[in-house]
Amino acid sequence: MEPTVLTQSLVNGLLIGGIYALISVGLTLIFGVMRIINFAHGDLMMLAMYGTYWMFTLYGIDPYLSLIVTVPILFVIGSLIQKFLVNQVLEGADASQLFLTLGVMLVAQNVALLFWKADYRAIRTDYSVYAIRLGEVFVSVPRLTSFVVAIILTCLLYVFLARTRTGRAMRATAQDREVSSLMGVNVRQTYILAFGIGTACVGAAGTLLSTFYYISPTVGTAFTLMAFLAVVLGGMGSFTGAFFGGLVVGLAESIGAVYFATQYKELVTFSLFILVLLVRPSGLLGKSRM
Amino acid sequence: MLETRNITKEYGHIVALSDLSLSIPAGTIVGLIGPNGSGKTTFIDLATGFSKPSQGELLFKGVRIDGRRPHEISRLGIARTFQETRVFKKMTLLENMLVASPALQRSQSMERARGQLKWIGLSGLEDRQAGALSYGQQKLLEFVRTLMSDPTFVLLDEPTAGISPFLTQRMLESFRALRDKGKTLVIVEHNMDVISSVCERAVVLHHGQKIAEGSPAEIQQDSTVQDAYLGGG
Amino acid sequence: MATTALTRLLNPEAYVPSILLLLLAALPLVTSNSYVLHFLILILFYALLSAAWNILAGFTGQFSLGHAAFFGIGAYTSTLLFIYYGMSPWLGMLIGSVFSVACSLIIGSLCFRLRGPFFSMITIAFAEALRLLALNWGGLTGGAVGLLVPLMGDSAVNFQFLGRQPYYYVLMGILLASLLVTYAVRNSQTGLYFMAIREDENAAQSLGVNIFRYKLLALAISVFFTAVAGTFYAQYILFLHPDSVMSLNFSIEIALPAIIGGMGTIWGPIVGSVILTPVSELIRSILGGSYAGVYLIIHGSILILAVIYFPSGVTNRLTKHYGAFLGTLPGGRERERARN
Repeated sequence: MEPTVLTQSLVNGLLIGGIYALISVGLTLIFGVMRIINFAHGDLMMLAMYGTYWMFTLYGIDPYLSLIVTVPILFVIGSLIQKFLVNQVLEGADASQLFLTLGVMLVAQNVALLFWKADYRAIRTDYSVYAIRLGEVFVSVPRLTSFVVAIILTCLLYVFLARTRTGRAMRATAQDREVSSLMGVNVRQTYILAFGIGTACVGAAGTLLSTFYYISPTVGTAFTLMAFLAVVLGGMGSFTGAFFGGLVVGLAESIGAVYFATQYKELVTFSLFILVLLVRPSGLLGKSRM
Repeated sequence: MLETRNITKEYGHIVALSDLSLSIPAGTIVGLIGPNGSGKTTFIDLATGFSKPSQGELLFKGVRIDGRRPHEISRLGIARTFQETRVFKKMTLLENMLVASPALQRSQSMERARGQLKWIGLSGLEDRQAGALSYGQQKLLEFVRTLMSDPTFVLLDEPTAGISPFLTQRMLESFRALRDKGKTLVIVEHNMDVISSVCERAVVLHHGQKIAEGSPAEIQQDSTVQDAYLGGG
Repeated sequence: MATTALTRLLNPEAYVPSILLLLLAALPLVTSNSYVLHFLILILFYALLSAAWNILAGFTGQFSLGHAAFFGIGAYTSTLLFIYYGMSPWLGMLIGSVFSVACSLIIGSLCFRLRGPFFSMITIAFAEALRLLALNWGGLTGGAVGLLVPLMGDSAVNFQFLGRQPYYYVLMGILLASLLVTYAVRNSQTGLYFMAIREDENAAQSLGVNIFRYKLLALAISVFFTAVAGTFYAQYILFLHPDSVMSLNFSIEIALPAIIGGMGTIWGPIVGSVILTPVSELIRSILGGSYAGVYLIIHGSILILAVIYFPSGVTNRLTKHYGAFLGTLPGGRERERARN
């Protein structure tokens, strides 16, 4: 095994891991604040990918520029889902919330399938094929740029949660719903905000991914499962856990693709998932808030 | 009957129980008191298999039970109730009782269940869903349900919390009746009146350690106990 | 009040379902319209699958989203035994379901360590892993090309028929068997244990219920019927592909009728299938194959609406109306009197 191949994989794994981290952070926010497992997470991202694709194909808008559009729109979509759907079943059985997000997943995937068919699409910009050479390794420009933007966005979100009043209210609600509402936090609003921000994360991630990843209606499911793995790895509800979990999954996937045939790449992810769930469901990296 | 030897339970950095050794004699009612977080529920969890001690041993009738699973411990004759009152809400009272009954003929079990419900004062409600009962009635149900398997040792986690004085009296009478039949009870309580009226002995926990042991009267006058409750330490 | 067997028969609670059953059994004799029979077979098929899933999910509260994997194992086992050893699919069905149950017990003993949504997640992971295995193990399963069941024409021994009526009756038989088993379990001590596990695992444990063992039991019964349905599918559709029979979407499809109709009830999955299956069939016939996914939009929307407005399923609402209806029928008033 040439060291270059391995290094190249590690670099690619890290770069996509940054975007995985953004996706996972969104999922863990939703879980942390509301204890909801959002099965529709990846499919909402898929919608953002299509949004980016059409803005590029029809109006020539550069994907990175379309962040200005996709992020707010996905934020709104997420907020609406929380406000009109999830908030209705908060008091019900946990199963209800699970089934609800499953329903959203079915609708999102198949609406996309209806409008845009199952064909794979890709965005080809002028810089899609550019790469920077660092020693023996080629670093693709879109991957690198997306990675950088993803990291910046994750840091901004971290600052928001840690330093702003709204962010603190959100963290307080995650810790203790009743106490927070006693202290004046509007819990339902906080939920809407949390789901909105979580979805905005995947909105951004979708746009960033679409600069180098293929787009199809079913692409979301694999990312939802990947995000679950990252979140469980890092500890449910833990921001830093999800962040590093995303990076780790990205790396693990790439390394897996090197040693196993590409078809088995997903198998690696699933096996890892099963292993982590059985061995340390409370997370390896961060604290769990289950 | 139940003996713990130097048990310690740690959850990460939190020490729930520290080097606790106590012995519960058969046929008595023993109260377990202490401020919130002193380890009382942890003790019950350890004694009923919901948790394993980090160190130390638990013995029941001389046989080690630490590390065994809850249903195995139940088969040994140990029963418990929960602080949060866990009745099977969507099942009827009768069904709740039947879950706990040993593998007998269904008709025999049903007769016994009806009898027990009557004894505790819940007759007429057998076919109601447990979730429709009042909080106090649910606590009575949870208590009498544990008796279906005819346990010899029952641990009760705050059995009278939040229920009316009338229902409390009913519970206390039944505790005494059980003790007179030779059963052993451990009652976790905050209410000193309850402890004084039924318990022969009481054990006080604070920060996971036993700080006092004796009759209810002795406990109430113990200065370390008063400090623990009032000092906020 | 003593009731003789005759009196029991005159009770609408007994004769209404019996009449429905007879009607259902008589249908293929009345119509030989291939499409109508296919339509009914599909309704019964999803009713069976969901009823099987319901034994685990509805009664013990363990929401598996990986049941398609066990369906696939049953289907592929009987088919491969047929292809390579010429074994009658009837025998293959038995072997396939036993094998599928065995697999489920192994997987289940790992999955049942987790609770709630984590259990659902790990079932998805296992099922997807198995699907990928099936997809990539072309030599065994035909891989991405799929597996064709050899055509034997009209041959009862080989579980293949040219007409639809035999399939209809076989399926009805299996469905009835599963309903009888569900009914028997529900009214037994085991059923009480299942429901106690669903309501509160910790309380059940404290009362002496070995929750691990009973979850596995529920899983075994559930998977048995699921795998049997798998063999039926193989012999009816005559083509297997991992993306159709072992996919996550299929696992969700299996669960939907029970969720909509009412989990933990006996009739819920059937009612749910009666509601959902016509939708997919109608869409498919009106819009054609290229719009295959549209019915899922409707199913997904129904799921969302059901979860919000009918959290315990449609059947619970219907039961009251059904009870009132029974009271208006001959023999109904005696029934009301006996109840009060």
